[in-house]
Amino acid sequence: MDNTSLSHFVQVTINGLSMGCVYALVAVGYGMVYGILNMINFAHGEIYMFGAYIAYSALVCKMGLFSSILLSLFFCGVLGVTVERLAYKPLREASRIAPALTAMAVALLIRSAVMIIWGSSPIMFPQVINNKPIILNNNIRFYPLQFSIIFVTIVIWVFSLWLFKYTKIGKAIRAVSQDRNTAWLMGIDADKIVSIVYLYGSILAAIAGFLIANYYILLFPLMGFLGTIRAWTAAVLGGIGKLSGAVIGGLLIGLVESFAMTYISTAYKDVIIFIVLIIILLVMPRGLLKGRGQKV
Amino acid sequence: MLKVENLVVERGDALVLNGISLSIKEGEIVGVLGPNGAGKTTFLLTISGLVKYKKGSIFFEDKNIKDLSPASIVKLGIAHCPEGRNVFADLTVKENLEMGAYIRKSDVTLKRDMDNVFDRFPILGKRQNQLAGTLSGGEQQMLAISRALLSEPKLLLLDEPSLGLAPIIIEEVFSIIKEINNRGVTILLIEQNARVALDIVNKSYVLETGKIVIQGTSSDLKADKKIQKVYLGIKI
Ligand SMILES: Nc1ncnc2c1ncn2[C@@H]1O[C@H](COP(=O)(O)OP(=O)(O)OP(=O)(O)O)[C@@H](O)[C@H]1O
Ligand SMILES: [Mg+2]
Repeated sequence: MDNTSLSHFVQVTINGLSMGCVYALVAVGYGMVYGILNMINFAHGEIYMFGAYIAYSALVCKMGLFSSILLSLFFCGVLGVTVERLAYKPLREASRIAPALTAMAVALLIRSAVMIIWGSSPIMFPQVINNKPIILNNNIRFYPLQFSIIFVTIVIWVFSLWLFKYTKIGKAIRAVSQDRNTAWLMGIDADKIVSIVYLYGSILAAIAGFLIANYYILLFPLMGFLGTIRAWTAAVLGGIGKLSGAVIGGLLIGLVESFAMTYISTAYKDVIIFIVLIIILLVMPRGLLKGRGQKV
Repeated sequence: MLKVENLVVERGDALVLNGISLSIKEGEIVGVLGPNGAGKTTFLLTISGLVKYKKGSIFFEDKNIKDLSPASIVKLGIAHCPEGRNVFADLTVKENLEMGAYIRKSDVTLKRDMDNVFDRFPILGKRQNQLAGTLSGGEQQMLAISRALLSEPKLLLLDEPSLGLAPIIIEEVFSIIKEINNRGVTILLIEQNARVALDIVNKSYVLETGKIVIQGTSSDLKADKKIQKVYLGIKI
């Protein structure tokens, strides 16, 4: 490899890791929700999209950066918990397909609401974070935003690992994910725990939405659906129910996407991601970190 | 302490419990015997609030516990050790015990009680950081019972603790149950293994297809021809 192609390679890696971090954040929340209720939450990506739009409006209304983020987290948290209570909770004992279908309907509902409020054509996200690239030697550009994305993801990853492993609430979340009825018999309010998981997952989605909006500086209603697909792929790739699996799965997809776009073709990047998914699942049917051995 | 009156429970379209009445006094061990599918597990789940009912009532210490969530029922002092043990297989032994103590606030007494569990069952102490799913059936039963006790219950509900265990382990489990009772915990014991159950209970109810067909003290039951034939396998 000569020098330019090497720096090109590094550049593509950095870009891929940044995107991958965003996918990882969406996938962690998605995986948690999947783990606790065993349901495919088609609406998860919509919450991520919704968060980005809320941040957009807050910034356009000249709210500060920090308060805009908080507002977006708040709205997404409320939306996630409300959706769970109103749409999913009544179906707790129903067959697996019912909540999945309901989630699809919820996704459509959120997407339509966003289209009504903000319109269906793409809108520019206000550039509020100073993102002047730092040019390293060999012409590699490293954007401060990429650094923030990677940093935030690592912090959230480590925090989540700690939360699940060592805190009382984290242990209760794992107990409820494994056996909800037995958890109730321990005096754990499983409904409350499920709500907490939705809250946490929605907040992570909102953070991811905010980061991606700043990264692409572009919002469009279908980004929620794309987010769900990426999160699903990442969670399955990494191993369903594994926190670190979702992170690794997200990073891998970001990298594959970035490399496919640069070295193969932008048009085929999704096909390539799915080919990688299929190959990995053929070799490791339960994903990279050996998640739950059950149907996805 | 516990008073169940005319309880009627439906699950799906099936009428599973058809008018059950039962009462337990403080300090007793009461048995509920009956064949597969009689509704024994359903009965315990109903007391714990996991299965809802329309008719009848359940009083715990003179308080009607209808419509309370399962978590609030635990807080009142009823612990439930479910059928098939149901330890959290992917949690460690220690984490399982911590879940049993979920409703408790004080860490000081918890540490002491946890140590007591490990003293009583050294194998659980030795395996405390191992996943509970890797324990043997008997060890899992010890864990499930210890876990239920860590909520400091007044009433312990046990669903077929002998299920799937070797006879020698069953004997040990039953002596533990007796020991727990001697420490002042009232016990409602579900069993199919009438032979061992009748040795430790004060009185029993026999449940068949959702109805109590016989009730009485162990000596009454042991003298009953039908019990002898069906549950104790004595040829007449
Ligand atoms: N979730 C459910 N939905 C519908 N019917 C159920 C459900 N759970 C149990 N039943 C039915 O209720 C009846 C009683 O079941 P239950 O598990 O209470 O019996 P049991 O006495 O505990 O039996 P076993 O000794 O086999 O544990 C059975 O006919 C069973 O098929
Ligand atoms: Mg049963």
